[in-house]
Amino acid sequence: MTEMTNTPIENTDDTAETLSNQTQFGSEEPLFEHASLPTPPSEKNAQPAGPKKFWQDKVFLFGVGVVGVSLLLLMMIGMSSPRRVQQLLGQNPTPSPRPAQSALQQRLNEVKTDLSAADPSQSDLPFPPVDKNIYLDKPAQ
Amino acid sequence: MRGYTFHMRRIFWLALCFLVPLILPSVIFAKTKVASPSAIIVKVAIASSSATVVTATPSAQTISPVGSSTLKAQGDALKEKYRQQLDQYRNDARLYVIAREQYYQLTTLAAQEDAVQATQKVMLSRLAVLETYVKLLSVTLEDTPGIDITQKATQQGYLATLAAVLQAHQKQVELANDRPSINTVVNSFTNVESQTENSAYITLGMINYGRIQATYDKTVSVKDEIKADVQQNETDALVQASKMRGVEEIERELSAVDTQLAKARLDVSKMQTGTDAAFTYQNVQTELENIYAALSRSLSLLDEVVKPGSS
Repeated sequence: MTEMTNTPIENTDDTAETLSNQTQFGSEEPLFEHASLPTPPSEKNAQPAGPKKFWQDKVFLFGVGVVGVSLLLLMMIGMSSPRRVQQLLGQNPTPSPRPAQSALQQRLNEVKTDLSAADPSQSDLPFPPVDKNIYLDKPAQ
Repeated sequence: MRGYTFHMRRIFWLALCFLVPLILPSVIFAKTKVASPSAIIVKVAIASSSATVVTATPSAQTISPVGSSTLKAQGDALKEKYRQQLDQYRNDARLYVIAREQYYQLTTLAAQEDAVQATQKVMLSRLAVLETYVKLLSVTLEDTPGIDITQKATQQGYLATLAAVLQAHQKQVELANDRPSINTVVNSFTNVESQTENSAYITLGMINYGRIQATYDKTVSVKDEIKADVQQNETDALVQASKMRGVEEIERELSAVDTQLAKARLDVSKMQTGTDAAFTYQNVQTELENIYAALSRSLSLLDEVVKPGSS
């Protein structure tokens, strides 16, 4: 590497050997020869930044969009009649194919509950656990 | 300053974006008297979530008869009173045992006086418990379906008589403030206790029988509904035939239960006229437990018939 930098190479033609030595090329290249080094400010950026119009503001556009969507939603709901709303609120979305069957199942469950409450071995009114032999003087045997 | 104005404007527009959708629907729907969209959305969500819970119109048997809720409230109040009186009795009984032991050991007049008072107090506590228990039996009997009205009225008469006997005995105990009179009321309680126990067993037998009878009646009613449903709505002929065979099997079981119930009904009647109610009560209990098991089996079979896809 040191050898390459110390050995002068004539800059006469663009041979492959010359171009491969980039360190020498960079050092020998004349500065400010090419106009493309500093890019001048574009015309667009050069213009003075004036006050933005409020309708150009992104927040304003977003707000207009939200208001518009909400108005559209309100119109759609308003167009649907109260009866339709009632239907939406009250109707069963997935009607059972056999409503009678589920009603019977419900009746059956009620009877099962009644039967559990009627279990004779589970009396809820046992005789009071009171002492029948309360006395003052010991009774005669 | 310019940047500050710019930020303020942004904040203003942001606030407007959030406030307009919130305020505008409220104003519009307040004028049109329609529920706001948020409320509609919530209600629709609730309606859809509870749609599976929505049940059919209640059948006639699920509607409580008039006066049943009042009786239930009375029963609950009496149960609470009964618990409190039982606690009081236990406390008095503990003090009575201590006073009586001291009286036996010390044999002094002061110890005797304490023992007399403690005995009187515990006897009154016991009577209060028994009186409330009899009232509780009366209310429960009245609230129990499935019992013959005449039998029920007769038993209510017995319970009223028993309540009067207990009250009369209570007055005797209240007046017994010395050793001989305490011994007298101790002896007379034997008869009162016998009557109380007898009436309690008869009433309990009737209540247990009535509950089972009412459940049997409901089971037969549901069985008939299931049978009609199978006959009318079952489209698959093979499944229908299979289910009908199942229903016929259940009908045979229920017929056997009906016979057992008739015997239990007879035994309950014997309890009212007989002397040893406690012994007959045990027989009735055994019969009712067998009926309970048979009814439970029948309901399981009915459940099998009702289940969708069962054959």
